[in-house]
Amino acid sequence: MTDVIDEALAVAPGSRLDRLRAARPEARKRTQSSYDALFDPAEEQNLARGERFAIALRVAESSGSPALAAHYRARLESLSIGAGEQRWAAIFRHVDRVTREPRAISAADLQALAAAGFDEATIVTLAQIVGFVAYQVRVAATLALLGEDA
Amino acid sequence: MSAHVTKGGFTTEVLDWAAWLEPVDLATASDEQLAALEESGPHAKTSQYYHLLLHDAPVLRERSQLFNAIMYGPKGLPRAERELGAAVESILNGCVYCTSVHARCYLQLAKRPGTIEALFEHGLQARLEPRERAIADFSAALARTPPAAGQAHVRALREAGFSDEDIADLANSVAMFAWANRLMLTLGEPRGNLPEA
Repeated sequence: MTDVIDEALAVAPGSRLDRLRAARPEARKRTQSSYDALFDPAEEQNLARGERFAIALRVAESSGSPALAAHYRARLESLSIGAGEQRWAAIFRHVDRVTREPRAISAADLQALAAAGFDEATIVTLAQIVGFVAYQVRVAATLALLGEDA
Repeated sequence: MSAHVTKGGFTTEVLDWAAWLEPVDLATASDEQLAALEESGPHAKTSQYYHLLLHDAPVLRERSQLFNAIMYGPKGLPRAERELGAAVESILNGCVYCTSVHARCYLQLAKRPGTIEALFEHGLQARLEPRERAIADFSAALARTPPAAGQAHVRALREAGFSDEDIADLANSVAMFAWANRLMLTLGEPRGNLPEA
């Protein structure tokens, strides 16, 4: 079974970090299954998998996680992205603000996204991707800290 | 519990939350959506927040299980201190709704209203006892974008009695609220008896 955080941090089986994560099996398992639901969805709806990886890459980069950025970049390169330039500009602008300054988002911002053709489900999934990667980079950052010394 | 705390733009009173987008109508929801709602807990059935998140039911389903494992898992860091990490993250992000829920949980579990009052009023400048200080400083540093927690924070937690498992538990809670705050703050707004800033 693939575990993205273990892969990104090169957690070796039986190592200290592996044992630390194994002490909370449900959190470890549900972190990965949340990833699977977001990035390997049964139905892509209005966000293609390539777009999902591009959004996650953007969040990982602006959240200072080279290890997770490398993961999302590798996944992105294996898929093509069909979105036009204007759609990307709108997505990235929103993603950057949700990442860096979520309190600055207002109802008017969501109305503008809706007017640009994003439906409710797309906006919700977009927020879930940004939220998940915000979670993931903090879990990984802490494990990296705990793995630095013995 | 009777004594609520309201200060500095935050409150532990019960607030409501209203979505900025049309939530899923339960009358026309799919079986998968209804199952996801069921698994998210009794409070989810009447909450616009959960009804909105049903637009992506498979993700809500996994996220609710993850949330429960991290916040209510039986082993490890005392629940009160997971709630304190969640509250600090939420205060720093300015998430009035998440703060109301998790500062209230902390009050109920730890019975330390002075800690919440000080955090509401002074943020990180609050005067706290050493273990709370270590929790607040680590949580605040991890909350930043990019996260800025370092070895000094880890040392302070260990000196306050934290094992590495405890530190990972606290980090999971703070990280979960980096996620939750971003949903609550960007998809709707708190309603009800809102505190003045």
